[in-house]
Amino acid sequence: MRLLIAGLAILIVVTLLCYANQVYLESCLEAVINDIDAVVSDVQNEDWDSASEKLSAVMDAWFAKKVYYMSVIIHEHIDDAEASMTELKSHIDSQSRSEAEKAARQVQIRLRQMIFEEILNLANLF
Amino acid sequence: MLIVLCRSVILFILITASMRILGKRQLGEMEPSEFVIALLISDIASVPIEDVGTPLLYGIVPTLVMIGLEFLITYGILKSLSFRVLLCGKPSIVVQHGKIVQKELMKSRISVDELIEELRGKDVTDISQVKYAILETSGELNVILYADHKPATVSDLKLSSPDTGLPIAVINDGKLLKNNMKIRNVDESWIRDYLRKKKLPGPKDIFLMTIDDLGRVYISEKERKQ
Repeated sequence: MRLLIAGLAILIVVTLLCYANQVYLESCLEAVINDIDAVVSDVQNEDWDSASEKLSAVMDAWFAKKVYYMSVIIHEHIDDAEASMTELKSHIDSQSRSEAEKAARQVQIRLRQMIFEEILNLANLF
Repeated sequence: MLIVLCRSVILFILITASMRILGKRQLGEMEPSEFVIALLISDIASVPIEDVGTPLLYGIVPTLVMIGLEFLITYGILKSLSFRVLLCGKPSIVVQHGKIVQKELMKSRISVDELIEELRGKDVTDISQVKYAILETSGELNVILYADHKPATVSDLKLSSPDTGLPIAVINDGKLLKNNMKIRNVDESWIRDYLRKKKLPGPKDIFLMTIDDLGRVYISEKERKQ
C-alpha cells in the first residue's frame, strides 16, 4: 500500500507542479506580450519616449523573473527573446518606426512560441 | 513541462512494451520495468548534464515520473498475478525430464548452443541428467537435476559437520572494527594478545582478521612493501 501511495503521490505532485508551471508561465508571458502591444501602439503614435520607458519596464520585469524562466524554458529560446527585445530597444532609440514594429512582432512571436511549446496537445506530444 | 511529463510516461510504456516483446534474453537479471527505468533514467539524467542550455527540471521531472511509475508497477506486480505475467512474463521450462522443450526454446529465442552453454555454466554437460531447466523472467537459467545426479550433501552421506556460521571481520586493512568485535565478544586487548601469541605484528599490519561462530580465527598479514 505504501508503494501505491508513494507512487501516486509523486505522480500527482509532479503533475500538479507541471500544470501550475504551465499556467503561471503562460500568464507571465501573456503579460509581456500585452506590454509589448502597448509599446507597439506608442511606436505607431511615434511617442518614442513613452515607448522607450515602457520597453525598459518590460525588460526590467523580464530580468526580474529570469531565474524562473531559465529553470523552465530552454535557454536558447530565452536568449533569442532577449536578443529581439534588445533589437526593438535599438530601433526605438533610433526612432525607426517600421523596424521597431517588425522587432516588436518578432519578440511577440518568440514569446508565443514559448507558450505554445508548453501547451499539452498532440502536435507538441509527438 | 507537461510535455516532458507526458513524453516520459509514453516512453516508459513504449520501452517497457518493447522489452517485453524483445524477450528475456535482452534483460540480464532485471525485470523489464527495472531495465527501462535504468535505461531511461541514465539517459534522461545525462541530457541536462551535457547540455547546460536545458533546464535542470527537464531531467528532474522525468526522473521523478520514472520513480513514481516504478512504485506503481512494483505495487501492481506484488498485488496482481495477471499484471505480473503481463509485465514480466512467465518462467519458461526449456528442459523437461531430460528433453529439450523446443517450442519454449523458440519462444524464448534461445539457440541450442546457448542453452548448452548456460548448462555448462551450471556444471551440467549431459542434458539427460536435467529434470527441469527453467528460464526465469529475469533471464537467468535455473537447473534442477534428477535426484541421482545431484551432488551429495553432508546429510545425504549421514555425516556431521560443524556449522561455522559467518566469519566476521574484526580487522580490515589494519583497522579494528569495533561493532564486529562486539558481535564476537572480543576487545582490542584480546586481539593484541592473540596476535602476540601467534608471533604476528600488531593490528595495523594485519590485512584481514576474521572470527567465525566457533571462534576459529583467520588472519592474513599485510604484504610488506618491497
